[in-house]
Amino acid sequence: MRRRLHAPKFLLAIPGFVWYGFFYAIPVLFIVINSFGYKPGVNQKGSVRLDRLSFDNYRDIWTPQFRQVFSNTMVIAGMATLLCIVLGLPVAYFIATKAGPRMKALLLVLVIVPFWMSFFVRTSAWKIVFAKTGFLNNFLIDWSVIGSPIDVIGTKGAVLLALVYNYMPLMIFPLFVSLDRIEPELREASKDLGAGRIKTFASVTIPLAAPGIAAGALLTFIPMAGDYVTATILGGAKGNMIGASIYNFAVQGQDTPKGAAAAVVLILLILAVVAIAGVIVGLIKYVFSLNRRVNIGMAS
Amino acid sequence: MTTESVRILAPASFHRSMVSRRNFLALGAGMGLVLLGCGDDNVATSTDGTTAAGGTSAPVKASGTVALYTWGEYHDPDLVSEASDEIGVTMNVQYYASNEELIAKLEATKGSSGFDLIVPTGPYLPQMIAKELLLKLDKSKIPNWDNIDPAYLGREWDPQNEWAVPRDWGSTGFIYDSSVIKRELKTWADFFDAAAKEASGQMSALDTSDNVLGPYFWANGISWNTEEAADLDAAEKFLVEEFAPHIKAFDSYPSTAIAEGAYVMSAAWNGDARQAYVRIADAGGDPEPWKWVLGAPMTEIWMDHYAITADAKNPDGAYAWINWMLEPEIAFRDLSYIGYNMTVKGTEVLAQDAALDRLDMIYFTPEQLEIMEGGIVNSAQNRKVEIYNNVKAAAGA
Repeated sequence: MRRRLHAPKFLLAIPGFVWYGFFYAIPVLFIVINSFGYKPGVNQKGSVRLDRLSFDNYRDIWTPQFRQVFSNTMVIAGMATLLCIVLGLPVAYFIATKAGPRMKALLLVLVIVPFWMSFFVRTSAWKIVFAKTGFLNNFLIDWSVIGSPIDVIGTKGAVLLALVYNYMPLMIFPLFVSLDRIEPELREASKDLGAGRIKTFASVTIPLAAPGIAAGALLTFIPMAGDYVTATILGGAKGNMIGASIYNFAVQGQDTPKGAAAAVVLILLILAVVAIAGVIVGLIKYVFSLNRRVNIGMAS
Repeated sequence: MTTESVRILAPASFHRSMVSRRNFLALGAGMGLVLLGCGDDNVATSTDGTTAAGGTSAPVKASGTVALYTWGEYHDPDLVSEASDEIGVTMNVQYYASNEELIAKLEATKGSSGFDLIVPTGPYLPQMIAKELLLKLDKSKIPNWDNIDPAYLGREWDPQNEWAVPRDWGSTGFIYDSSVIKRELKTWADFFDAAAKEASGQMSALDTSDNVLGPYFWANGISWNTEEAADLDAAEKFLVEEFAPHIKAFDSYPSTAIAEGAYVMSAAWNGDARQAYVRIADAGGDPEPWKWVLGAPMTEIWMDHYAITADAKNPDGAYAWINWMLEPEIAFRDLSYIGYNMTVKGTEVLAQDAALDRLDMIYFTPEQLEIMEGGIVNSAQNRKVEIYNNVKAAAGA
């Protein structure tokens, strides 16, 4: 009877693949196709014409201004990812290794609490607190900490901080999972063998948590690079990111093909950055493994 | 697409037809005086609308939900919530920032936008009609149609009034905080100058291609409907290099952000600028230092319309709303909130009677009307959008 259950292994995966194929691959394919089309005349029907395909849209959007927006976006998303790691790692480490079972559950719930509120609303809420006449500035002025209000909203800094805040849980969770899986015995063994706290953290915990760090970095960097809401609400003209530019092209500019081209460039750029990061991480691992082999050799 | 086909669809400039509006305004003012002279009771209120319309009919009722896709801060929220009791429909309101955005959304969804009722600006109607985005009006479902002042009917974008119901009109200028910008600003040239100096990094521009480019042309005495490549190139050079670096945000509805202290100067449509005064006071601030300037030596005139989408799920609900909005008292309440000149007969008299705040920001003098120029969607449209995108990108660089 048990043999019957041995149906082809991919069977259960089919709904998922179909789902992705239908809702992801096909629309993205159309975006790619549209990016080679052109915008019809003002009084003609439709938002894209495909009877003449060219790279014109790519040429048209690749201006110095847009290259600047693209690089700003990559820098902001990259910095936000690093900040997420730096701030998220201690939290995940504490939850995974120091907190008791009940505390662990409570803390994990607290990490997701911000996700219970709409992304838009919690981002907009910043305006109430950080506006020039907002709560924080009024408070600081009342207590004579500052003389004149600090203008946070409408800057790259505001976008960076809000991205870190909005995406932090996506970093903490994979980090927690990978840290939680590390047997405490490994750390004890490291201690027994004479390694200090820092040495244990650097050469036992971090290497074992590396998959979690990598997963967290991908989960935060990719959506942050394409984020539209945070940049639009808090960025003003200065914190403009690619997501907002794509919207400008496709919607405000009524130019679907150019928006599609910008979206394709974004996809390619993200792939490139992830590939480069992957290569760098691979190299680091390789160097580390060489290093370790030498150490073992010397010990024996 | 040729230039001619566009010209045929928008053959005459809005400006030319201003003559009739001016005449009407003079007439309206005269009528107001006559009515005011009638006595101290509420003659004006009761007379208005009912005379020409042959009696205010009972409201058209409908049911279900009407999805209204409109400009921000553009409808009295009390009216929106009262709609379910008064006309039986629940209003679901969503917002856009420009006609381009409206059209792109309707077109991208290819007949499944889910929006029933929209509020496009006149010059954009021909392309929306050509793109088959609109439903032809059934005026039998709008018994209050005759409440619309005829001065607003028969415009070049919809000569037979088959597609859209004129709702309101206004203009563009800017407001600035005189406690920061201590000199007097009077023109678009002053606006650009202050943007580069006192207001640098602290000012907002409107978030539409027309309104980013318009002030440059007006400041330089050029029609904003220019199709000359040299004019457009010069506009791009100036706006990208000399204006963009000073822009803090592209904000079509700056009133809330002004109250939060975000800007010291903002380009704004007159009604939204008027709302800023309310928002500042609501936020506990002092609106007095804020000065409103109607653009000069030239500026815009625009007229918005109610129109029903071709794929509307609830056209009857949309008709019920339009008809209700054409009641003079209702139009007046809407006006009191949004601060724009309504097309419904008698609303100006009601506004004068009620002595609404800052009437000078709602109603214009003949001299002001003289410098206003209507927009035309012409062969420069794509180029204008391209420039606007470049300005936005440059502002973020």
